[in-house]
Amino acid sequence: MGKCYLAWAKDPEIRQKGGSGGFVTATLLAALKEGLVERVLIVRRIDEFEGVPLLTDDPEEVKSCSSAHLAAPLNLSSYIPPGERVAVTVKPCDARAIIERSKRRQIDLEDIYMVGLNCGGTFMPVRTMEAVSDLFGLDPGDVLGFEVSKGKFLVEARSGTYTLPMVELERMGYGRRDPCRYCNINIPVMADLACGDAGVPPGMRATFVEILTDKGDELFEAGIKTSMIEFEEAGEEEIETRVRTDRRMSEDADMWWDELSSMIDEVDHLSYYINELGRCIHCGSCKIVCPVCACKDDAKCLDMGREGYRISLYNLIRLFHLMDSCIGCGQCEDVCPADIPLTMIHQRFERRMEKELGYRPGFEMSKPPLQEPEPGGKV
Amino acid sequence: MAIERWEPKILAFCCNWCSYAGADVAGVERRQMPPSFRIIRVMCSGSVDPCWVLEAFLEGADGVLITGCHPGECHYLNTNYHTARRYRLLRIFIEELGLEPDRLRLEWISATEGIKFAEVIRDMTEKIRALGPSRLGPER
Amino acid sequence: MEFIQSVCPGCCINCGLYIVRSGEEIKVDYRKRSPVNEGKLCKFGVDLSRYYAKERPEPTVDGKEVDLETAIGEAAERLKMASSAETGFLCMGNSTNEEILAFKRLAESFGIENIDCTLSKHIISTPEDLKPTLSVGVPFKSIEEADRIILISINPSLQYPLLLRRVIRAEKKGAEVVMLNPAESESLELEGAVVISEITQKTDPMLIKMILEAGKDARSICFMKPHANLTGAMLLGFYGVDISEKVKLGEIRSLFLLDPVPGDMDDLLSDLDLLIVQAGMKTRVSEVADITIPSPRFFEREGTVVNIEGRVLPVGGTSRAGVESLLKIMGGEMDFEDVRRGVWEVLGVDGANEDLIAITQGRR
Repeated sequence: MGKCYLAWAKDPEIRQKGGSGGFVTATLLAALKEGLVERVLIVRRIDEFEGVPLLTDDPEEVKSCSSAHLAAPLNLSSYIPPGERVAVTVKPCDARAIIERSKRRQIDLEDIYMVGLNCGGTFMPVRTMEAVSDLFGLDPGDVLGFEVSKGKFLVEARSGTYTLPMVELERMGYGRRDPCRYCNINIPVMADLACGDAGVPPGMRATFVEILTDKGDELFEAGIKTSMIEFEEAGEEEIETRVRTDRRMSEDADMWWDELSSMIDEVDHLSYYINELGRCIHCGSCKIVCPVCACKDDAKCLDMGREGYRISLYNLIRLFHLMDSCIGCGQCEDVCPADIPLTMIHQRFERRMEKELGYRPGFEMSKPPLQEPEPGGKV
Repeated sequence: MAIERWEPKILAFCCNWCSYAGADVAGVERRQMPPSFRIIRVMCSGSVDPCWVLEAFLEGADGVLITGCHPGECHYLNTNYHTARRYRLLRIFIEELGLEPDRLRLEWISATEGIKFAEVIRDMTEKIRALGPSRLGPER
Repeated sequence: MEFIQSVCPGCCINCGLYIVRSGEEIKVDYRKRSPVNEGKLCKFGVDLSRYYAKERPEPTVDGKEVDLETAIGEAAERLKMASSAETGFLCMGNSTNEEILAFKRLAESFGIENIDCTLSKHIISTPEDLKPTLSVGVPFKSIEEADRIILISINPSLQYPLLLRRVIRAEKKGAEVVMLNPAESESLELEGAVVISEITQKTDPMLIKMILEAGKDARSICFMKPHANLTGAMLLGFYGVDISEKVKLGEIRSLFLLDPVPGDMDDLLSDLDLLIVQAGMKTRVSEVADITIPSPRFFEREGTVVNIEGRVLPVGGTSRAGVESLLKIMGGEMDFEDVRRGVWEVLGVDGANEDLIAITQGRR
């Protein structure tokens, strides 16, 4: 475990406005000011249910984007400009995507500062708007904000505060995206910093920060040097709370995985895959949004055979290619016009590979297993 | 009326430098082999793209055999070690997909091992006969 | 990296998406916030950047490049000289509500009654009380909640994948889904069903008649349409005569086309006395026009469309040039705001709102 601190923005306005004491905003501003990076890549809030990537060097724009956006399920790795030093706020799936893309020479990791955000999952915007109107009778336009806190879904609206346990919400088919439910990586340990709520004493406006790399040190130092941040060392109790929270969330995720993926084991695998993938209309969206696909527009897989095949070659090739690379970010499933549970399917294959080879994509820079020889040629 | 009996179809990718010659030796020595297999000669087992294997199944192969040079004897440094890795992942892959993993087989067979080649073909044919037709092939 | 909220011009669903601009480069990105499609797109939407990259027309008069004002002035002159009985205005439903209404006002100012959105022949042969059923369809949510869905002469997996997904969701919830080919079935039993079919220029009018008659006790009827804003064009009353028929018969000698797409009438166009085209994209049609008036690309336009669900959706751009060219030909008494107010008035809405099903069939 890296060095752990409780830290916050020195500027009282940023500390008040930003989520968890504005540490992330302050750190991004410091990185710009110190010239560590040319620009920062963050999520611009359009409203509670819509956010878009923003690449900027304007401190005012950075300030206006403070606090995480739960209903903007983006993977920012796809928006990193080539050949530029940038700091980017990353969920674990963004960070893992960046690492996988850097293995494929899509991104130079040297240029990237990853400010990690602990993540309990993101929400699909339209489904979440339906949740607030179906369950609380609210006009989504009247929603001022929503968050997940201590297992509860909290909606702040003009007419008051509304709440429901997450378990109930998700049992009713609302709540987080499926891939987030079964994602068991909550702390972006592969980023340079990991920032989150867990471990922060109640009532304190601060972020629990773990420094994970030398670049993380640089970022933290920049905050101190520019007097943008203030901090204290995290105590044992706080560290323990964070570990416990992380463990509980991972267990929760594994439970979701068992439940959702058991549907495949209950039926005949081949029939399941033929049936689900049979709805594919070959629009190519899953490939376009896939952060680990390096071919993108040059890919030939989309035009490969499908007539008369029970599963198209496109689908099989993607499944096989992602077997050692899928990071489970959920982008493919989000955009699939045929509602194929693609991330679940890719993860089924990836997790088998993980179990067999002990390799997890997106954690460190070792080559994907498919690019490596089998030691000794053992069969 | 004659009932058409199903016979397994096996596609074999054979390395030019070893097992393709091995298959030839098996023939020259008149080793008994069922007529269940078709050979595609490749310059190295490592040049077999996993997608070809998948395509073979989609096209109606009931089994796919990849044969290459023994470890340490690759004509091109260590490419057969890559074959071994791909094979390992392909086995997991087709198992999750719902095909019996034994439909895919990798064997190291040298240019002189005609006997081994014939044995592998006989054994694989029997195993696949027991498994029945692949369900990934085109609708019959 | 500028994210423009836009809608897809590919069909009447009008999927939400982002046009991402960085300099001259244009990309499409997925807008998961859109209530229409939740970010999902079909192949057309995915390839939209290629569609928008097509060459754009220059203002021309008789094949010579001129400035825009000259082309507009010439259009006004020649329209004045043409006989209104032999002049037709054809809008193919690829334009905004504002452009279509301006186009209609322009036709009226010249006393031209030959207006058409390619579907006039179907609309005029339909009884008045059933006309609304032809234009706006049904909210996709209500398709998902249907017990019985009947698809007649339509294959959504090819033409409307983003509709298909709603049908499949209904099916998963237990709905019965039937695909019908009326040529093979003797009578249509549509009681209580959500009926989905398609209406295009080529649709057999008998089919529409059959569906409307048998569909009197259907829960709702939804006629999908191949172009982006045919729904809006119909609601704004842009219909009257079957122009393609009249062109074939030689009864129309002058034609003004708004955002045309190549079609089966193309060969006849070069025989006309006058052909004016206003378009955001170069096509075979704009090539043979006597006068070409360029307009912005679809996503650059300020204005709205009505999608098949009855949502009034902003197109997302800021350019009023398309509407303004039409108003200038008319003589400039109206401005963009007048047209916009006119659109709200005809549609009976307060403004664009993607989250609201503003226009319904007003039945059942």
